[in-house]
Amino acid sequence: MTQIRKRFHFSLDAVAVWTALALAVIVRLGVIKRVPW
Amino acid sequence: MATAALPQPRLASFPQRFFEPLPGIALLAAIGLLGKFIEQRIALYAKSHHLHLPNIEYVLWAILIGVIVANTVGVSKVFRAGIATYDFWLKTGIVLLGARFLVGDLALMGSVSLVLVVIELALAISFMTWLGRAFGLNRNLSALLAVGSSVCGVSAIIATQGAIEADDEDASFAIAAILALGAIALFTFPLIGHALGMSDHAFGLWSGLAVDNTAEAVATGAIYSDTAQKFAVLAKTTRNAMIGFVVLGFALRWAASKATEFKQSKGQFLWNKFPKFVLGFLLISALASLHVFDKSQTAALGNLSRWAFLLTFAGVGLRTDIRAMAKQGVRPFVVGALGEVVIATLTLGLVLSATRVAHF
Repeated sequence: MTQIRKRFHFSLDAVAVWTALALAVIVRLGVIKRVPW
Repeated sequence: MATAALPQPRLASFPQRFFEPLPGIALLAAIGLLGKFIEQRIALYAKSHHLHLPNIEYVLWAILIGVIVANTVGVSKVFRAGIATYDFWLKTGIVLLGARFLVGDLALMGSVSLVLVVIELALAISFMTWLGRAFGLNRNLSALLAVGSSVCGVSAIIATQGAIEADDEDASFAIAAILALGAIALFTFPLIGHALGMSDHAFGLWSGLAVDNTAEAVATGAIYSDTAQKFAVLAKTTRNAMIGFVVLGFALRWAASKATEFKQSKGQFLWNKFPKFVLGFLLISALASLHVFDKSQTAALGNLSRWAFLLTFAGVGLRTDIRAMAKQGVRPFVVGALGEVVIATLTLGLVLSATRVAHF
């Protein structure tokens, strides 16, 4: 796991950014149309 | 071979790593939702009985429930991996919040924040270093408290600990003091803000400048209002972005005091310490400014950010261990508390002066 982290710079920040970007793409594509609060 | 006799570390399998955090995440969601439920019930009760009760945001309820659970029945081991994900939800929430900032607003408000942050950093580092010396704390502990209270709490303390080779004990003292004081700020800042009639914008900036740990700074803003939370994130993110410069400064000073050479490239050091989620925040903000998202999509991203923060705030309460904080001793806490009161007062003065100049 450490090797993978080193090789791909796999940090908490990176996971958070990629997760947020993936959600943004899903919303942009209209897969999720409305998020209630 | 001698190593063959040593116990081999057990590596968790992928399904275990995937499923392990789920109970804790479910607990974060349950506490956050309970907080929301209490807020809504109180509002309904006040409306049906024609009462004017102050609106207490779900954030405060979620944190209070978390603190009570963690310090009474305690948190079972099965939940711990999931509770530790609160930092991930915080960063994801901040990146998603970028959709609610246009780049033009960011440039304008970011520059106001940057000026205030630079003044705050200079004042806080100088004062905390002096205070640590006056109370006879060792040099490393004073440095850790100065960095923790000036930049961004726990992550800054851990980064500086590595750079100046401070003891784990000093780091845990400094972290406990910063977290305890952050918890106090959560309850006192909104009261002060309301007493002074501060605008959402000014209060958010103050929270972002004066509350040290990112989760507590965002929560303090959120307790005041949604807009205050936005500006708390902006000011705190600007502070976080300065972490590399401050840690580099301490590392260079430490190397000079040991008559050793600082071996790393300064540019590489700054990049390594830079909080990368800030780049994600800026990227989403740039996409929103280019109208990549329509109005309903921006609202959806904003609400996803709110759900991520809901999990974060429940985690803030659950990891507040009052007994562990009490064990850390009085002196570092007194130095931290005195420092925080002075820094909170100075930053309040800065923000109030800035509101007069910039009219916000």
